Amino acid sequence: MRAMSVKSYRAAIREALEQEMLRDPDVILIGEDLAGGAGGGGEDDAWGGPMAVTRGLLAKFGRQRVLDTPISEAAFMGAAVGAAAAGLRPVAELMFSDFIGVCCDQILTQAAKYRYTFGGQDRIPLTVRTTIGAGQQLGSQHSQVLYPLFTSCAGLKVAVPATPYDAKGLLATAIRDDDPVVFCEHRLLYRMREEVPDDSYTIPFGEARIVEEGGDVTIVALSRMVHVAAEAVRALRAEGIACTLIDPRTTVPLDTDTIFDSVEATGRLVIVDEAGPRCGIAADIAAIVAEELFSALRAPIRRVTPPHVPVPAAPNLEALYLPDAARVMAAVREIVRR
Amino acid sequence: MPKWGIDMTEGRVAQWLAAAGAEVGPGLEIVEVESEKTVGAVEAPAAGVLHPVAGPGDVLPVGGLLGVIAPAAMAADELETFVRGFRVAPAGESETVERDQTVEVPGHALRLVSLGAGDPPVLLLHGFGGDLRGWGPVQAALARAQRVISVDLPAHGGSTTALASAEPRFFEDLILGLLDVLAVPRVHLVGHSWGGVIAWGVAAREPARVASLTLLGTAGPVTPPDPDYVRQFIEAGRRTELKAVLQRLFADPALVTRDMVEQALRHKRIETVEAAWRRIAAAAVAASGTGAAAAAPAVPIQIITGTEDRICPLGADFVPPAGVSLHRLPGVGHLPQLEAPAEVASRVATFAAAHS
Repeated sequence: MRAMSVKSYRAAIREALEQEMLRDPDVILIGEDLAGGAGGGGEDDAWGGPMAVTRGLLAKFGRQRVLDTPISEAAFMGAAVGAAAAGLRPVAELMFSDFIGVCCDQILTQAAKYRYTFGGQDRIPLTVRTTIGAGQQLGSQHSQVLYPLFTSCAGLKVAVPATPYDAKGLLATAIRDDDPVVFCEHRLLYRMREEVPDDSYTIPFGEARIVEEGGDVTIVALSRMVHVAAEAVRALRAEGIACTLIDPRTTVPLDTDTIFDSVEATGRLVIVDEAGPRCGIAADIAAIVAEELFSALRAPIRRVTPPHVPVPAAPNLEALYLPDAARVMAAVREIVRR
Repeated sequence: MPKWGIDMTEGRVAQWLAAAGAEVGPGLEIVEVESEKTVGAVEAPAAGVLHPVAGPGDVLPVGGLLGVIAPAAMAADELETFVRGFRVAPAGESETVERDQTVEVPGHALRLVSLGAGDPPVLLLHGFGGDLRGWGPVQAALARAQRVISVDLPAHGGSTTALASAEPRFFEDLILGLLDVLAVPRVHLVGHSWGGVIAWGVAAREPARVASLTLLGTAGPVTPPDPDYVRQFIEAGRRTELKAVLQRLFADPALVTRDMVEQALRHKRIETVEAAWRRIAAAAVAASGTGAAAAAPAVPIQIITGTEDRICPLGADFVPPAGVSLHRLPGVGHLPQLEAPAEVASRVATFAAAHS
């Protein structure tokens, strides 16, 4: 009967789905392989979805609420948007964020704009769960971090949880939100474990988590890069450099207040993101801070991101592509010395 | 480096309060240390001449060497040999092993921490929205002389969130049940704020089991807390809002750390916890003031209050019931156990020793 237990990121997400499905009968799951293969002779719940997140939910909630779909993101994402418009609260699983290409219209044009277009007469309480990130040699078409695309699209909210605790609370908030939310799960975090409350809780969107506090430099990092940056922060402490590390947790809405407060105090900003350098979150935050707080800056803003190239599949090149703690430390040292 | 609470693994030297070469004696505050949770002064454990080793800003593990107090006659090279040879004892070898445990009291699983030896024990009850970690420095100090137990009340800290009832009597029954489970016939009760009101109720019902009662930040059910504070504390949903609310607890708002806010926020966001807190707050407000007519429990009672307490202030016109001693701590807010842990521990130890 302990109120807390150690859970993986994957299990924390599954628990949020289960608790929200128990709480609200309108919550349904829709996506490829969630029920084990529709229409085929497959085993029920054979996979728990391609990422093994939804395992066990079919047995608990049945085929009326856990729906398998054909391999057509355009079709099932459209169905999910329609179901949301008609009053359900669907959670659709987009296996890789790279697959947004075949359902842009459904998410970016229909779901995101519906409420606005029709003057608020209807809402789209849709959650799109998707996965992001490199590091598994899945190649250029299955490794991208595409939340900058969702962030740029007015009408969507975007969550990028870095920990099991945040994943559970942010997913509950996403599902209860009456507007479309894209929830980005980093595949390399699925096995991360920490203590998470067993009972249901929510974390408000637009509230950053301050991971570390220090006076020399502000580091903003997202998703898995929070852990890369945290490793750099620990190593820099030994060098006598004290860093504040901020995880915005959602890119829409973005908690600019927390970032501004910290940059006003430190005068230095490094942004670490796994999305690319062009039109990415790092570029976005750098622009916002440069515009609002230029006079508070004591050194140029530095971005630590992969280069503007497709994600390589070769393990040595992929490792070179991804930001690591050494690169974060180099960026921090460079501006702290100024 | 002292250990103030379960979570403390290291501390930072803020400043030396006594100069190198000064003659110091037991009880004199010699160095100010910051942990993640609190700031406090370390008292000299012995008499002699002070030789600081760690400097301001240094971070030391618990058990690390802050400085040396040596006889005036000790030679410089002997001192240097000692400092160079000093090693921090591994955690397992420290004198008090702190472990939290879960105790089943019918219907509830309560987390508690028991330290030290010597009966009757002291039982520490936290206030509304708090948990046993708030007793860290006080519990560690008291445990040198006797057994000290801190417990998380239901819907707080690591205890279960289910509440059979939110009425004061329910919590009194629970504490009496806990004493039975622990086979403790008599106890020194220390209650902070709402925990003090519960302790008062326990003492009123079973005076024979209560050797002494220390109330912190409350004078019992006669003094209702600021209802605005309770409401704001429950309503605050975001970090910045909650930080502002928590700062009202302290005379020095800088003592509210990021970690303190984060821990409180994580706990209160659990929906079953929030629902329980609303029930507790409603029941506590309904019951407050009713104690005005009731006589004080027939046990030795002392009240410790901060002059800067904004939640449950005892104004200059407050007169304690006959036979009850009142200690006002200047420059301290609603949490004397965090703002003046040494003084609170010393008052409790003295009071308990006089009434054991």
